[in-house]
Order: sequence, then structure tokens, then C-alpha cells
Amino acid sequence: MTTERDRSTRIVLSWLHEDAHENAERVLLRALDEVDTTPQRRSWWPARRYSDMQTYAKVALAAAVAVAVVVAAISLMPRAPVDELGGPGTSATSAPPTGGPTVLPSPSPVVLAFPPPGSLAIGRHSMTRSGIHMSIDLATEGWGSDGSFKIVKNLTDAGFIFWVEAPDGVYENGCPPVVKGPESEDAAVLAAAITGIPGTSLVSGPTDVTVGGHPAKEVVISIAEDSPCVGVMYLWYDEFGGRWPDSLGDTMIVWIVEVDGALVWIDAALRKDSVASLEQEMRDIVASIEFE
Amino acid sequence: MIRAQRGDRAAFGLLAAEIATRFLAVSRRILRDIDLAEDATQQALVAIWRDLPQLRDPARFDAWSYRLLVRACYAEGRRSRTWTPNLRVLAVDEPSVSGGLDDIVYRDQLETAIRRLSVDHRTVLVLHHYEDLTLERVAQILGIPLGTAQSRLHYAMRAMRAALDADDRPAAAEALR
Repeated sequence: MTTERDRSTRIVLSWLHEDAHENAERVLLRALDEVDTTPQRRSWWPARRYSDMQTYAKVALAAAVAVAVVVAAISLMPRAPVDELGGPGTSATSAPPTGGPTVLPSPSPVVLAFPPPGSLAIGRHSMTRSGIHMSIDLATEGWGSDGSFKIVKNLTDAGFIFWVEAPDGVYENGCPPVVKGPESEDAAVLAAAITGIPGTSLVSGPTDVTVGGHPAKEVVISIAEDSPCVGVMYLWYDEFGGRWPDSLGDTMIVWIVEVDGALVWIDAALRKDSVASLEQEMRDIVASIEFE
Repeated sequence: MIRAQRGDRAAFGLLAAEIATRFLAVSRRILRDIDLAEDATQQALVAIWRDLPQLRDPARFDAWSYRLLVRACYAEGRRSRTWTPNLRVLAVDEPSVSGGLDDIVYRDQLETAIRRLSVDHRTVLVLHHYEDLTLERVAQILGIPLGTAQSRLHYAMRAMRAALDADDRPAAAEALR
């Protein structure tokens, strides 16, 4: 019996390894053609060279405002299947994919993987992360979606960001060579870990708050302008990488929300030169979150 | 890879050339259709280019890129269910390593059996037995518990072996002798 089973297994494996003579030249050329017209998704951390920082500051100033918020869904249940992660959904309620901000009547909530790319109309917008359905209400114009994981204010590079992969933990040392803190699925543990990230200073928290009717921890930190890190600095990590600040001097607000046994991670970055009203606008958006 | 992360398309071209053949081989074995496999490979390569700046640790490139490939295969698999109720037979240009007419029968039966498997099961089978990845690695790439990966592999191999053990195989093989 065992011999027959082994023989069958060998045949299956041999068949699986049969040479089918795949020629990837054609698909490679097609892919590279598409790459020529495909922009990369900008990294969250600008190169820390002075000239780049100046350029970045110009962009930020030209845009007048910059607010970044990250929402990460940390599922305590098994991770979402690969095919459910990221990527824009489709909706009849979305704003046009290109062009400037447009004020439209409030759309009806529709559950999406994420709002499609382009400017977002005033009103409620829905999304799904790791099986958690939620929606946010935008009360002002000027927000846009990248179609994947973040919404931005005035089409700058910063805005709400919905993390594609769930953070697993917080760096004990975010400067290379990095040192990861322990993984955790406990909101209090993660919130406490945020307060001790080297290169940041605690502004407030952890504070018990409520988001969308669910208990949450709020922590506010600021990114040191004289960060000890060279070139890159990490804050929290997931299986494939980590989140890092958009620019030195940012103030970051993190909410970790407990939703029916799972965690939803939200973070926002406020530029040091952002207008003061943006923090309230950002907090209003978080306060508008509804879990469905 | 660092140059590609910074937007160097020529550097990405070299990177893509290194992995394209392997990606096509894997996706072809998962999807059982060369056109779907080419589309999935193309999707995966473009996704890698687009999201490469977000990959923090270059050491994780393999697992990360596999994940994008599998994701593309799932997307193509869904499309194939919608558009092509009958997939074409995977062309095999060369005889198998063992050769012989028996293998023609084996291949037909195995091809039928693997097409009956879901993309989930095929993916675990191919990543483990074709790409020689450990089940822990496969589970990590797919974002599933190890037990689920083990279960899928067990089911897939049982189905493939059962195809060989089918009552009509000896008769069919005998008929070709």
C-alpha cells in the first residue's frame, strides 16, 4: 500500500515538474511596456537629503495642507485571503477618477475594498479591510483616494492611509539595523509600545477614547526633526515591511480600535506647517467612522 | 532592487527578467492555461513595479513577490471561471522524464484531476511540490494558517493520487500498449 502510494506520489511530482518550455519573453515585454506608463506608489518616507526635504516642503506648502492618517486592520482572526487584500473596488458612488475636487451630493454608503482612485465627493465613503466593513464621512472637499490604501488631502502625498497589511508590532528601534518589538494583538500593549519609539517624543496618551462606538486607545507622538536615524526610520511593522513617517517634524496620532474581537489601526500625520484646522478636520473624519 | 525601488525602470527590467520565467512556470501550473498564466505574470510584474517602493526589507522580496503573483493568479482564476468554462489543455512539448505511453494516460488523468481542484488547492500543491517551498513558507505567502496549508496539500495530493488509481487507468494504459 505504502509502495503504491509512494509510486503515485512520484508520478504526480514528476508530472508537475515536466518541462512545458515556458517562454516569458513575450509577457516580459508586455509587462515592461505597461511599466513604462505606470507610476510607482510613492514611499512614505522622503529621502532625508536636505534638497529633497526642501522640495517636499515646497510641495507641502503649495498644497497648503497635509494630513496623513493610516488605518490598519489587525485581524485577530485568520488573515484575509490574498485576493481580498488591497486594490480598489468599484462603485457607482465614487467621484470621477481624475480632476480636481468636486462637490457632489452625498453618496449612499456602499461597501468597497477601498474608494476608487480620484477625488472624493463630500459625503460618506465605505471600505472593507480584513473583513471589517467601515465608512467615513468627508465634510469638506479636497480629499482624494489612491484607490488602494490611502486618501489624501488636496492630492498631496499625504492623507488617510488604509494599511494593506496589518501591523504586527512596533519597533523598539526604528533606525537600521532595526530592532522589532514583540508582536501583539492587544491594543493596550501596542499603544504603550508606540510611546517608546526612539526618535519620537510622546505628546499625549495612551488615552481611552471611543471610535465608531467601539473602545480605542489614542496616542499622539511627534517625529523628531533631529532623528537619530540616517536615511530611513521605521515606526511599526507587518509581515512584509514597516510604516515610516512621511517627514521629520510630523505629529502622528494613532487610534487602535477594538472591533468585535479584531483591531482597526488608524494613524494620522500632521505636518508641522499644516494649518491648525486640519487636525480638527482629521479628528472629525475619525469621529465619523461607522463600523457596519 | 534598490535602484528599481527608486524608480529606475532599466533596473526593474533586469529584475523582472530574472523572475519572469519562474513566475510564468508557476502561474501556468496553477491556472492550467498559458494565456491566463501570461496575464497573471504580467499583472504580477506590474504590481511589483508599482508597489516596490513600499517593500521595506529586500530580504522579503521573494515572499512578497510570490504573494503578488498568487494574487494575480486568483484574479485570473476568477476571470476564467466567468469567461471560459472549459480551459484548454496544458500543452506539453516534451515527453516526461520517465517517457512511455503510460505517461500519456497519466498526464490526461492528472490534468483532469488538477483541473477539478480549486485554485486554492492548486496553489499550495504547486508552491510546495514545484517550487519546493516549505509549507510554513507557503502558509506565510498565502496568509493562511499552517494547518490550512497542510490540509489543502493533503486534499490535493489525495485527489491526484486517486486519479492515478482510477479503475480505468490500467485498462486505458493497456489499450495503448
